[in-house]
Amino acid sequence: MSELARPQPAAAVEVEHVTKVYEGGTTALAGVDVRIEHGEFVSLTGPSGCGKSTLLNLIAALDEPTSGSIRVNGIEVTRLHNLARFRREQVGLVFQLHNLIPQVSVRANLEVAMFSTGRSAKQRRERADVLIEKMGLGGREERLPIHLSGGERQRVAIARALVNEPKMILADEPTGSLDSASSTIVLDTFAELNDQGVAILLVTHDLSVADVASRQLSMLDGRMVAPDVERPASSGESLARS
Amino acid sequence: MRFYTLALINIASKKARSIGLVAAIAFAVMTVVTLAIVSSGLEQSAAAIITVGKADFTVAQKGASDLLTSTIDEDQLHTLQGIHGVQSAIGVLVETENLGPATPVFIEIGIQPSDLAPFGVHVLQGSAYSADAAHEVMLGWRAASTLGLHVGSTLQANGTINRVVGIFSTGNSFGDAGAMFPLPALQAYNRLPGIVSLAFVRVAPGASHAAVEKRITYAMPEMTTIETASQFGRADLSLTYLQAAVTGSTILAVIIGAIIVGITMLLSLFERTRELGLLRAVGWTRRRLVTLLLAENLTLALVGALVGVGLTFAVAALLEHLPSLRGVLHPNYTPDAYWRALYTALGMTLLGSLYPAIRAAILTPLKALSYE
Repeated sequence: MSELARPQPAAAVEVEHVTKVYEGGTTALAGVDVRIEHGEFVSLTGPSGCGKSTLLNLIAALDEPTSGSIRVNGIEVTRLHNLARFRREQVGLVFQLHNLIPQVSVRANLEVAMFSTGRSAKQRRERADVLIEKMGLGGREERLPIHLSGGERQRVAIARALVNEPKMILADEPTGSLDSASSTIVLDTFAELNDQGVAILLVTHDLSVADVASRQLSMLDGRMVAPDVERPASSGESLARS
Repeated sequence: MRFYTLALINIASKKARSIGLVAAIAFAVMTVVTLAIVSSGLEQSAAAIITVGKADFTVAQKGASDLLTSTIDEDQLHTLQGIHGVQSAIGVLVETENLGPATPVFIEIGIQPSDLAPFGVHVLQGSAYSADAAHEVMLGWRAASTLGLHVGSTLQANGTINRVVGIFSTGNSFGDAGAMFPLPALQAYNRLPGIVSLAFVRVAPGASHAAVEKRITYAMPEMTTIETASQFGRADLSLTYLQAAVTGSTILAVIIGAIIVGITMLLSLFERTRELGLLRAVGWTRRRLVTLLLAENLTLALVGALVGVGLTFAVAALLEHLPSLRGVLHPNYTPDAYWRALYTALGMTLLGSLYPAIRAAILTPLKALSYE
């Protein structure tokens, strides 16, 4: 059986005793344990340098832990060989800087994430157009990212994260470079996705942004601090007002 | 959008890089192909001499610096004529003379009138010169046309005034662009009594060419036989040196071109680090990333090859009309020259892309995404 085709796991993310020590001896994570259920919306807060982005990068298989275990949808990430396939199929990434390819259109930005998926060019185009419409960007398919507002670009990035239908979105400070109106739109989008069953891990240093999640985690100096704060889900209501 | 469309968009969006790469490739291709067609043209011009005489093969002095300095004396010619299997061996003296800016290299062939017919010379107008005639000349029809001369005109050559007694055709453009003199007269003009440059050999019916050639080189180790243009270097070291220079220049051009491609690509990679990291982060494999970079560069290589071939035509035409090269240089656009353009462009691009492609492949997405 393929390493990516295991039975449905019990949790979307299971992080156990994970440490990360960078070259030079800086300890970014010191024995972190986190569990995120399927369909859960979790925020992770903490001051700059506390290790929250490091944890997200490890879950996204963008980096390797020094020790410990990370399972995403039951897949042991630390033992994976085909990391590209994992990133393509299991998680969708949204960054603070939208990280769109500037020289290609909105539609093409989505299509490039679908290469290697076995979809034909026509299917890629159709899937991209569905998501562009869903993100409220209809009519902007052929525009270059430079001709979009900050909020629109971030919605394109969210659409790109969704093209391969991952069960989980990992977002690192997605509103960090947006004005409040754009932030509201982006957070509303996350809430809608969560309503549709997509698990979300939202890393932010902004507590008001963290409030939109159904559960909040906090970190300090590479460790999880304080018990999780569980809040009622915010679906159906604009997050900007919650 | 298709994968290759992305490569084309990337090429179009990085104009400075694309133009730089195309220019580097085009100049390398132009250098390599110009050298190739010029040397091939020179080789063809020089080798044309061996096809004038309608012989089975030509005999020349072994290792001469160039074919026109080959010397065969009367004794050697007699020895050659006596070798079993040789039906005839016609001794011919070949010299060149500068007749002015329009004809900087004029071919003069000294040959006995009795050898004209076996040599394949057809008199078109007038008549042949007599064996002991002085100051008589026959012009090839191309030479007559170029010089504007006809039977009865005079040609100033070899320091004397010669009367044109006939116009001939050999069916060979090299021979038809020159003049023929009585052999003793041309030997006298050039102070080479009893000397010929080449011997044109006809093999007796039923005899094996290879066996006769073997007998000649055994009996006359100081001589070599030339049957095809590719064997020309046996008697003409200058051509061998020229071919070596062309090979050396090709290698040098490819290496320099590859370095330029490599540097340009590396600079471009630094510029595109975040973009490449992003593609890895959204699930692109290393192989796909490298394929994209190679697709971009190989496309530019093909464009560079086309531009380079275009430049080659322009440069070759320019060289052909330089006063010092007029009449000497006839660029020879062989299929090999176009293949050379293609594999020079592809070779230098692949060589130059190797290190940057490896760098891109080993780049971790996280490092690439945090690259400033």
